Amino acid sequence: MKLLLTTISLCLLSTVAIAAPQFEKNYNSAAAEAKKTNTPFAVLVHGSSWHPASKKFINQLWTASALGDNVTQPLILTDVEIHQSLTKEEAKTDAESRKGWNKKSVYSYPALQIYSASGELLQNYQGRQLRGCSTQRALTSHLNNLAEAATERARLMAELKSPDIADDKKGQLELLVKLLKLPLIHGKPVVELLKAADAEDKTGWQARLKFNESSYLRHMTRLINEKKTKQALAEVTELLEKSIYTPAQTAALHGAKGKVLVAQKDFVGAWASFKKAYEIDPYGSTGNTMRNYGELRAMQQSRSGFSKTSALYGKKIGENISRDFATFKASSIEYDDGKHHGSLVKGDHSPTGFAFHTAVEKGAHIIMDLGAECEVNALQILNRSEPKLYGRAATLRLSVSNDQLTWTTVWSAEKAEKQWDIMLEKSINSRYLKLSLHSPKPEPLHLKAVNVFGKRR
Amino acid sequence: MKFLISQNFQIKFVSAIVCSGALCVLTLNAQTTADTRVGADKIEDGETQEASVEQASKLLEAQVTEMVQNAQLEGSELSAFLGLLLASNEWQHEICDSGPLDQPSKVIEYLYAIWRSDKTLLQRPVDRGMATACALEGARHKKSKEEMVQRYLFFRDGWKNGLLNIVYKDLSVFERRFIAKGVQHGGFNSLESLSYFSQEVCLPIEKYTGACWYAPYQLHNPFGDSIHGRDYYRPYQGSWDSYAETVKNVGGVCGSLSNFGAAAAISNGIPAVTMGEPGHCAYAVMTKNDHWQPAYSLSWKRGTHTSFYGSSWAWHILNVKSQKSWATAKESGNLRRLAKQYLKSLDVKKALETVREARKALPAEWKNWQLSIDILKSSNAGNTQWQELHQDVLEYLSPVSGEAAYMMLEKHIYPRVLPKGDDNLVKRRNVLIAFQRSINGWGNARWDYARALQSQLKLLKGKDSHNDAYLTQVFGLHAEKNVFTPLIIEMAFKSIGKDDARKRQLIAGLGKTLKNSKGGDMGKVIDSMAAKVLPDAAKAGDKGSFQYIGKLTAQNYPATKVKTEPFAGILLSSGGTFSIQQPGNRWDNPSRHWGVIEAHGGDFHTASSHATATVQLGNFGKLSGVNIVTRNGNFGRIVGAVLQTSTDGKTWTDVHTFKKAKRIHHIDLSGKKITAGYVRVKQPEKGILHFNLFHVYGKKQN
Repeated sequence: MKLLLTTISLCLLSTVAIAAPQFEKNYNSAAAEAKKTNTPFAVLVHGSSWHPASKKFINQLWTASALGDNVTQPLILTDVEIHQSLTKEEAKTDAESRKGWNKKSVYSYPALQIYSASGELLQNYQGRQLRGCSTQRALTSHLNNLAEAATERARLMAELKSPDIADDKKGQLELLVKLLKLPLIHGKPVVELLKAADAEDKTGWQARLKFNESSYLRHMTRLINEKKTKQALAEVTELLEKSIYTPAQTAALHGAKGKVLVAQKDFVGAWASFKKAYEIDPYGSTGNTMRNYGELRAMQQSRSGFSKTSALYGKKIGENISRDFATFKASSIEYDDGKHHGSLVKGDHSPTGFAFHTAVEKGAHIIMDLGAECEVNALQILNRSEPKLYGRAATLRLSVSNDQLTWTTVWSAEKAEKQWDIMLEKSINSRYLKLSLHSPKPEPLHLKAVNVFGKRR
Repeated sequence: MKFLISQNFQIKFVSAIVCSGALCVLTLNAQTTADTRVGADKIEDGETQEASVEQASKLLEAQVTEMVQNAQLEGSELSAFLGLLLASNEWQHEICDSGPLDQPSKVIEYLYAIWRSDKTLLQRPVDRGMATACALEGARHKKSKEEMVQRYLFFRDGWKNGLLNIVYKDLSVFERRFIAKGVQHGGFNSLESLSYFSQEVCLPIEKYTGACWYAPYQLHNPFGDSIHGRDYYRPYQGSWDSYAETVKNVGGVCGSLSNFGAAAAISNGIPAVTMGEPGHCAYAVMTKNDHWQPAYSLSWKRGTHTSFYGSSWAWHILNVKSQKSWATAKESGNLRRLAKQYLKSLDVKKALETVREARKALPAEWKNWQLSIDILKSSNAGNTQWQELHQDVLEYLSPVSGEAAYMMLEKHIYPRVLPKGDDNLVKRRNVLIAFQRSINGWGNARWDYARALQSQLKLLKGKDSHNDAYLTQVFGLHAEKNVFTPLIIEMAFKSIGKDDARKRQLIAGLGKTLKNSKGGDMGKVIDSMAAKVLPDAAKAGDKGSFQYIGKLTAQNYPATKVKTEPFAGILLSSGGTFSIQQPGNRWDNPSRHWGVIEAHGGDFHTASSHATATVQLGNFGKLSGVNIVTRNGNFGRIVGAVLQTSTDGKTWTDVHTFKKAKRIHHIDLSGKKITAGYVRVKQPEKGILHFNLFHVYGKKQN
């Protein structure tokens, strides 16, 4: 049925054909004919002598009979063959045969190039993009679309050069925006016209065309390394306010902002920026990259984020209720100068790998005070960093209390872990949390971070 | 090579496959006996040939049967697989004679797993070869069977659908092993990466030497994390479909880039290998039959990451040579199997004769030499047999590969043939010098001659004077060809240190060995040698020799006084080599070439047509600019010449044309994004070039 519909639609298209594709023997004759007839031309660049699939493509699809009436747009076709393992002399002769064609634009063979009648490269399909055109239907569809775009481009360019519009910047800009929306490569001539018509870049097109995500991030990294974080933050905030960028570009800006905030130790703000980047570009490589980077540099430090593999990811667990309120007391303190106790609940983790360290004792513990009775839904506990010392926390338990006299155990570790992301079976109302060891032999307790999630009353 | 067997073997194979449900327990016994006392003279020539072929087949089958016997195989399809395997003489040869056979029984297990995924593979030699290569490499590197099956299927389907380069069709199993193994960085070997390369980096074969540059050279990622830390690629996990695409977009340094280039070739069915070099990573691509082209390479000191027997570049080329003729490789395998059979039946004499025939016929095959040692050791052979092997190493292996020959001598033969004790110093020297006489060039490829020479001095066990005399004698032997002389001088000077009297004496000795030198004047000796050594070293891309000898000669001519404004980055030309067409022509003194690319300054003068002056940079780099100072006169001679750059020294791109007649040319290339390993000035037709300085600046990229 599908085939029938396709056939019918192709027949219909052929009845309204403007011109069937014209095959020229080489690049030079195609370019000359294109210029003469003011027609765009397509060049298949291939290595059919060493790439059998290209040969098959040419034999089955790139022939007058295969394309024939299906190409409804005016288009001249030719091909350029690239050989391999030629001697110097052979290479010289070979190069002569395709003089005028610029091979630099091809990074993988085969490639399908669309040129304007005057020889400007307008589109360059290669790699996956071209391999997706391996059926007659797909190929002719792409050729028609590109030829139509090329013809439309020629019309718009002619209009732009018309004396009628010479003093009409607004009109020029409208034409240029139409032109930029065509699925073609926009080279230097278009950018120059854009600059002339929109000197202040009110449309944002120049900024979009110029913006390179990696280069911008490198620029931000450089400012951060030069300790110019205020300047960096001001710059990126200003660009974000413009709201003129593509989703990927905007995601890069949010990522850059997150990086600056990390440098300023604002981990909560940073993690929010990285998450925003992902929200804006969830299916693109930039959004994913920014979130991944945020996970590395801000998520844990923010005390409010979870990786996609965490048991707490996406769960309704409330807010972090320990970061700005909790204090704690340890059963004892040894091997610990107390400088990093604050890092148990807030900010960057301790460089020693633990926020506190008790003596080697039986029943080593800490008691955290949330400052008031709270609804507790979940906890994230980070064990001491060194893998060899994880084992000491294998018998860790969580007990809760409101009076520090009666304790109820609500969770016990099954084994030592680098990190426990704990979703409590049911919400508990409690002010005091006790994390204790229950090993039969004396062991020290030393944890890197404890984050409590829920609701403050 | 004629293959004669003068015995009548009786080989009996008894096989039984006992199946029990899904599990088959294989019991396959091979009993091989031989009557070695029947002479060939009793058999007519034609019959002998026929019998030879038959017996060779049986010995081969026995080897495969033994592999099968030790393998852990199960499944209802086993008997069909074994039936096919034991019926195909060619397949058996491919398994046993395509390079080293490590973990033989495991190879059969891998092969069985692959065959189960494609039971018709035997009908297609291309696929059979790839399946065998996957089995050989899978077993050797303990890869999972699942991974090797998937890899095989990728290439099978790729070839079937015409997606691989046409050269894939005619590769030997040995060559396919490089494709089966993949590259050093595992991420590039995933199916996703293979598919990516097949689509996105599909090139004519010779272009893969430049494929490394598809990924940008970036020491730090955009977030500022160094590639030497663990966070360089971590933010990009899951951002693209494959590791290959990630590296293409994020970049890397020499390791990632070289792996990218090699993996791109491999994914398109072209053998390639990554290689470690001092402080660098490079790769090589098989761009023609039996020709491997190094890419992004800075040094001859390469250690290939897919290697057999030895990992150096010279070993790689030796192994390639051993498989150049498949017919010879098979016959060589037949002879080894026969020799082993003689040994098994305790006919040591015949075993030695047969293995000798094998090593003479195919000296590049290391297994022939290894088996020779095994037979001599297991039979407690006497001095005569060891001497015979010593002579064969010098006569047949040394000219092919000095490195393999010296490894054989040092490890196995010298301990048996080198006289011991202070009284035998002269005899020892004679034995050692025999090796020096046996090599008159690099053979297949450059190797670590200095290490061999150092080892010889240790084995000589002489005093300083004996060592110096030995070095002088060795220098004299190699003076005419000048291949090893820079290394001999370097070693001599390093061992002498600051002992000037000893140095003068040595120089005098060395000088006497050189033509046109009266000896004694160190400067003249060095100059005389440098005039020959520097052009040869530059031609061979030998930066070490060029630099060492070049620095010595610089003491004999004044520094260039003209000052130039440097460009950003480092002096990339420093540490490299420099060459011109027709060095040593009547206007040119090559002993001053080194200074041209260094801060010191020097000079050169080309001949008068198609003049070229080429710098092989000390480091690959992104160019920022070039300073040229011509000789002080005839400034117009540079007009019309072009400045060109290249990444491989073969394909050149014009970057500047000289239009003005002046002495100092300050050429800014900073905006042009040029990555290069080579820079040259070329006069298109007639013309002369003569500079004092040819300095290339930029940011190092290796």
